[in-house]
Amino acid sequence: MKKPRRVLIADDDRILTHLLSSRLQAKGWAVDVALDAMQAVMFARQKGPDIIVLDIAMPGGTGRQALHSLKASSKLRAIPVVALSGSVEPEDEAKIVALGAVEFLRKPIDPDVLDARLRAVLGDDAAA
Amino acid sequence: MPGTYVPTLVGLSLTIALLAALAIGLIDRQLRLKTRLLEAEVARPQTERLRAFYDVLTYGVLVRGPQGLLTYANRAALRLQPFAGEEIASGVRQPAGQLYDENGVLLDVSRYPSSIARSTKQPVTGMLVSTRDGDGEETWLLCDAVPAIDPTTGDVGDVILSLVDVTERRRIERALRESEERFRTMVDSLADGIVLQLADFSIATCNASAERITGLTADQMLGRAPRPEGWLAIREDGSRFDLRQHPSILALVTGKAASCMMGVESAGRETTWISVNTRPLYHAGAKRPYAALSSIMDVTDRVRAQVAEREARQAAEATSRAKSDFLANMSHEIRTPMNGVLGMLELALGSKLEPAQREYLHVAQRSAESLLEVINEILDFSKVEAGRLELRPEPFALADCLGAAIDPLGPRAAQKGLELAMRVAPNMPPILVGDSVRLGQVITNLAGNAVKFTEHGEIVLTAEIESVNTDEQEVVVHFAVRDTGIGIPADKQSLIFEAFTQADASATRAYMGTGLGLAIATRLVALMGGRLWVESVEGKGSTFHFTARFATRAADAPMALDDATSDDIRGMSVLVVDDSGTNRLILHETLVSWEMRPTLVASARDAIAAMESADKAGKPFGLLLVDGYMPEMDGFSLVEKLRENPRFASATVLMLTSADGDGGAERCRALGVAAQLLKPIKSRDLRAAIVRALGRATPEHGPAPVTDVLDARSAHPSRILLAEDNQVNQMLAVAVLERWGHTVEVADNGRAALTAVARERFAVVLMDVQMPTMDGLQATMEIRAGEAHTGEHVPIIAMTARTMSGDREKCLEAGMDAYVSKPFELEELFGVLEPILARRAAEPTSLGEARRRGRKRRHSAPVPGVAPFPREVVDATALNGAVGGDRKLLGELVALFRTEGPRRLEELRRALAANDAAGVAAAAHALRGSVGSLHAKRSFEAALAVEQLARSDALQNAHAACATLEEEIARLERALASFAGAA
Repeated sequence: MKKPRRVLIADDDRILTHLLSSRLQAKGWAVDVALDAMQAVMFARQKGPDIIVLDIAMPGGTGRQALHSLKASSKLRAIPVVALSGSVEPEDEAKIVALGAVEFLRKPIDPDVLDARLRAVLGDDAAA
Repeated sequence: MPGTYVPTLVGLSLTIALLAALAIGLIDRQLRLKTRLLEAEVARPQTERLRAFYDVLTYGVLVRGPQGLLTYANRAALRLQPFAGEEIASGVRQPAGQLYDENGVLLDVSRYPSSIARSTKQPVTGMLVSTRDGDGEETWLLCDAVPAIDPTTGDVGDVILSLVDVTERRRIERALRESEERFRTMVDSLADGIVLQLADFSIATCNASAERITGLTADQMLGRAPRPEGWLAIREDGSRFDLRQHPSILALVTGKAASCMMGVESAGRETTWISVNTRPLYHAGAKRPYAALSSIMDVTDRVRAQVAEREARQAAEATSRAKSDFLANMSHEIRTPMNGVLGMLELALGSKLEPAQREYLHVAQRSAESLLEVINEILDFSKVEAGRLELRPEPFALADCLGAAIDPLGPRAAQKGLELAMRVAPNMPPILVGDSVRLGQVITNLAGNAVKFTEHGEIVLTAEIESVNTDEQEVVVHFAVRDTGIGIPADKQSLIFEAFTQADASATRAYMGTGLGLAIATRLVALMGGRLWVESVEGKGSTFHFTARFATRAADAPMALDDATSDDIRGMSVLVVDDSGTNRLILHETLVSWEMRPTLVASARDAIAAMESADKAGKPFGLLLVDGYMPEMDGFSLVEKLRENPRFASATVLMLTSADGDGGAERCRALGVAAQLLKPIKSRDLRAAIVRALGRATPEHGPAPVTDVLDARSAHPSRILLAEDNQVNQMLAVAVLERWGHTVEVADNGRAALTAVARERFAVVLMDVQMPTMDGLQATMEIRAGEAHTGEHVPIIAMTARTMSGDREKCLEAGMDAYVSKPFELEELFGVLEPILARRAAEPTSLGEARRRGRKRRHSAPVPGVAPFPREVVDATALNGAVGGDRKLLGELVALFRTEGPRRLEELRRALAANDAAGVAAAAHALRGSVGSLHAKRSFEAALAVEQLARSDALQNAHAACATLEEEIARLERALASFAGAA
């Protein structure tokens, strides 16, 4: 059996994180959840995720800061980050991508869609 | 003294003038004699008047003529120089007496004051000479001599001498000098330094010790000499000592005594620590001191010793701490794998096995148990040695404690065919206050050794009151463990109490097993205020005695169970059948103490005879206590025989057996035995069994047969979170818990446990205390902190090695609810877990209800087609899709929303009340995210409306939107509840 892919979900919405983590686990992912930006960066170091799902609209701009920190670290830079946002204001998708995110998804997020996008980013066969 | 020796030339005017001048000059020593001599106004008094005038003088006055002839001596002179009179009378031109100089050397006449004045023609002043009387007594004279020079010839005529007696003054001066010398010598010889500082702060005196101690020479101290370069006074903490605070200065300024300690450092010297004590000195009646006298003591050795002692103590404490930590860690490190070994063996033994395999595993289990025992002993011993073992006194039932202590020995004793009995004196207070765990440990050790070294016969544990101190509410209990084993030779008896005795290791091993048990027991007994000793005859057996002190509680009520039913059994006749005399004795005493009437027989045959005769007498026994294993006919055969006889078929029988197993329980059931009791019999169990047996009509419902806790089923199968880092322990705990009917989620560390608890509502959390990343205590505290918001309380049971005192308190302080020791005993775990689960199941939360239903139907078909609420409230289909049809997950999300939703709403309200637009927007945003995940369209839109109003600074319009949002959320909650519940 192949070693499961590891995803770090960073979002302060506990319902969403629970939903996503449970569903992704059911789909064979190893999931870590960070409930704030600081935890997100910490877990990115500790858990060695293959990919990170990051809510960039976390309170006080901390989501963007987390993205910045992740991309500023030579060790973490290579981990692809999928940015989420539930913001009502039109996000400048190009700006987010310029910050280093590989994907930009708007909430609400369908777990199945997220799964597919994550696998696409990692180049995995969706059927795996 | 009349004028016998009035000088013949008294009329000579010059002489008289000279004498007058001398008299005046003696009174006024400033007088210039020569000048006066020539002054014309000098009176020329009458001869007689002059004589009187001279004689009244206290000073001696002599006149020597031109040829050295003594011509006149006044009265004082005659007294000072007794020979002068003789000289005048004889007319000899030679002084009659002898004069000595200052140093006591006899003077040549030419060196006499008069001779010098004559030869030099100059006055001689202040020449010190002495005369000696016949006894050698010295008289010291201060002499002046003035030559009278003829102005015309320039020749010396008379020489006038004055004599002052300075003998007394010299004596005083010398005494003073000697006294000063003595004082000086004394001060210099003092070991303490002495320094005298005057009111102008100059130092007047210092002694040699002061120089030595301070490292300053007298020159560097005296006066106001500046302190030399490199000389420094410091305080105890190493900071600089301000010399203005010197006690000597303080004493001069304040007028009061002062003292201090300081260190003095100077180049090339180690720091000298000195203690300075200063007293001010006052002149009589003065208000201010004129000086301050300091004594300086060298206390370097004392200070160094103190410092060394402090350092040694700190080092010892650090070592002790390190040792304790090491022990705690070791304890954990050793017990964790042992836990795995024992647990897995237990599980394996519970499975289907070939007889040989079972035997192997039994051997492995016994080995592991004895290894654990050795480890425990070593840890215990280290703790006792380190003084870390503390007793934890609490009320306990002595009989229960003793029973529990020897119970585990039952099977081994039974295998060897040994009788194991216990007797607690009937007058023993049922409840004592002491450390029952440690008492049990001592008993287990002694009784364990007894079983080990006894091949035939019996082992009897007794407890009697040795003394009672009613004032102190204290009782000393004398325990004894008697065996009929190999005994201990007299010369080895003292050896067995010493730990690690290498002198005769073989003897030690032969008589006391691992070698530490008795050493520990001895120390434990000492802690309990008693002593441990042995009486033994080689080949006959040993009796280990010990005493221990316990507190008693005033007016101790007997056990409630005993009380409530005492009337039922009082006066009842009981037949006791047991081949062991000791057992019969104990049972007899026990039954009599309950006011029952026992008849004792030693064999099955005697029992049948006794029953026959009682029946004939019309007084059948109400109860039979039968030993299961007896020679000739055993207890089971006896009961079988009785049942064949219609007269005895219904007799109530309690069977006493040495060990469970071998089908004993089954045979008991088959024979209609009311209860089976395992030896050693504890009086409380016996009593309870009797009461129960007599209270029941049918023996079929006797006490529940002993069931293996491993086969138990939980009455409340629940979802349990296990936080444990060790994989073996995880496996073991999961296997056990699942066997009891629970489902288990595993978290590898405290952080993971935290996440799991946030995600799901568990019935209970089993929390290992020592884990990496985040330990159990920390995790518990964080869980409790989180619950402060929600009002939820998930029961947390700590799992930890039990050895270290204080562990338990730490767990409870951290917010844990209960505590099981590792390696955990299944019974303990089950016993702790079940009541908590029962309480948890009874909690009236619809949440729990929803969860249980959700769990039960976890794999049932998803989603009812029609939901009893509009799609806009919750889009059931979409939500179901989002959870992938997982009802459990759905339940969890609903549960989460029940805590998250209200929390966010509360944040919203607070921000709104505070007119905090950003806060309102943030809370609404968060809420929107949550309801978005739940596919609650209306709530989502209501939240969005609030958020947008807040962001566009239209907060005054947000109140209505908020009210709408609250309504929608409430509706959503109801919908979710029914949705999750209906599934």
